[in-house]
Amino acid sequence: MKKFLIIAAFMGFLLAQTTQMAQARGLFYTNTEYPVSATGVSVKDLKNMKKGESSSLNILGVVEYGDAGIQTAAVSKGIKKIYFVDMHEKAIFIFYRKLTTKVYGE
Amino acid sequence: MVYRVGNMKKLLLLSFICFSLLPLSAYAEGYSPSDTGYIYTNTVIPLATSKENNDVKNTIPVSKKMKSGESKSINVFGLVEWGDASVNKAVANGQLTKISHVDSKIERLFVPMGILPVYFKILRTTVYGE
Repeated sequence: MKKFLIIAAFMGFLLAQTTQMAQARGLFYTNTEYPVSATGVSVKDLKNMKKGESSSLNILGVVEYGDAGIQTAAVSKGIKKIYFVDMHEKAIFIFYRKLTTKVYGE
Repeated sequence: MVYRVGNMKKLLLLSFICFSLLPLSAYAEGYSPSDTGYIYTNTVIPLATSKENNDVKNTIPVSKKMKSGESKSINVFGLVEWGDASVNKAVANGQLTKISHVDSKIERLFVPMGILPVYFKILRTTVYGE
């Protein structure tokens, strides 16, 4: 029984480890935003940028679905020229994880 | 005899655990860190944007109807993987001359059935451009 518990705990730990994409890994809680890519386009108006979002969802580390692609995010708000792409990640241990791709542009 | 049966049970349990961990192994994981649905994954993640957008005169407007190329690789049972999911291949498939951005699509299925688990994964790279 003791051995089994140890193995189960180890598996749970591995599962939790794989559920994070960011460089910053909170085992229990993650709420962070990090960069993915920047095009190098000169930003004309920083305050009036368009922001398109797309997201994918992971439940219990078992099922992951959704479209967090750049294309979906850009098309959703009609962005024609991309400035940069950020990723927002929110995760609660192994129960829930949401990846949101944010595309900024005009 | 009883001892042997006990041994067999242990062996089965151990092999079950080993095969359950299969999709978590680095071999099956591939390069993508977002491939995390233990049993089912069907998701798209961003890979990169191109500087081609930078050129004011030759900007590629992002739209639903923009040209795209796709390439894929397939992994079976975490043991064999083949195919070419490179940007190079995707560009050739879509006959693109300029790249705007790149997305990566992952489809994966894993059914942990004892010592005979089903594992199947397709990785697609989609390049958008013109």
